[in-house]
Amino acid sequence: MKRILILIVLLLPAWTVSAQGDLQVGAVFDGKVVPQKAMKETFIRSSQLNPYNLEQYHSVSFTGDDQVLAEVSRRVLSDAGKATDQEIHMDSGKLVYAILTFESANHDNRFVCYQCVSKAGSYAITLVYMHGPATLDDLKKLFRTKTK
Amino acid sequence: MDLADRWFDALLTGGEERELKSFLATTEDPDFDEIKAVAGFFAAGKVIATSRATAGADSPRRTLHWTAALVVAASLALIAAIGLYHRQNDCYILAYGQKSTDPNLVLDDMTATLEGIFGEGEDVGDELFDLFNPAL
Repeated sequence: MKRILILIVLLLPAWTVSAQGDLQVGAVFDGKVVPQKAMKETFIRSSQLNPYNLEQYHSVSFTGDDQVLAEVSRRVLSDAGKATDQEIHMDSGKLVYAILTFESANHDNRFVCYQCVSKAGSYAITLVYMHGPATLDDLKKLFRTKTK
Repeated sequence: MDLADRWFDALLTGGEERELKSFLATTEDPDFDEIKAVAGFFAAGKVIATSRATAGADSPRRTLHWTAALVVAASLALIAAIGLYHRQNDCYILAYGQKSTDPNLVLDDMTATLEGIFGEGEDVGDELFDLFNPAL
């Protein structure tokens, strides 16, 4: 009985760890940079994502000052170093847009998208994490088509 | 030999029986082979009966342990199944402390966000495309 309990205790952290936990931006999703009550979080993990060829979608958006922007940017750029593909746009030394792709051999690609819009001294930041068999081209085609 | 005959007739006292057993354990006299064999048979039978009784006394406890282990395992499996279902079928918007699980609302939010992100990417791409393909 003791062995079973020890096994459960050992397995619990593995069960609760988030999908983006190995990325630097994972802390932002976990509310460690901006409190969760101060941001909008959207999470989808269901068959509704099947048309998009995705398994999970997770986004957070919030408003922050220079310090928040610097912290989030630092984390995105740190993850960019591990990405297999990246699109990064800087404006006046500030990170304004990034799409990071982490391709996987088993067709479980991961994406981190970052967008920052300057708003009268503060910044509206959106951070997205997705994973699934979809490629970046698939997603671009899908969501560009919808805007037209 | 008198003790042996009385032992077969079950007429010995406890002390006499112990005395007889002590004697049988040391004598090499073939006249006592028969009683030694019978006494050995009873001794072996007593050991077997005692071990069975001990095992029988433990079995309800073991059964209880197995039942408890099965109940715990079944409960964990149920919790894991519910957790897995929720992990695989979760859909919500948590906006500034307010939670909504309306699938349409959540999906609309995702679409708007991704259109905003890939729409911006499209502008850059289109600009580059126009730059390198002015005739088109």
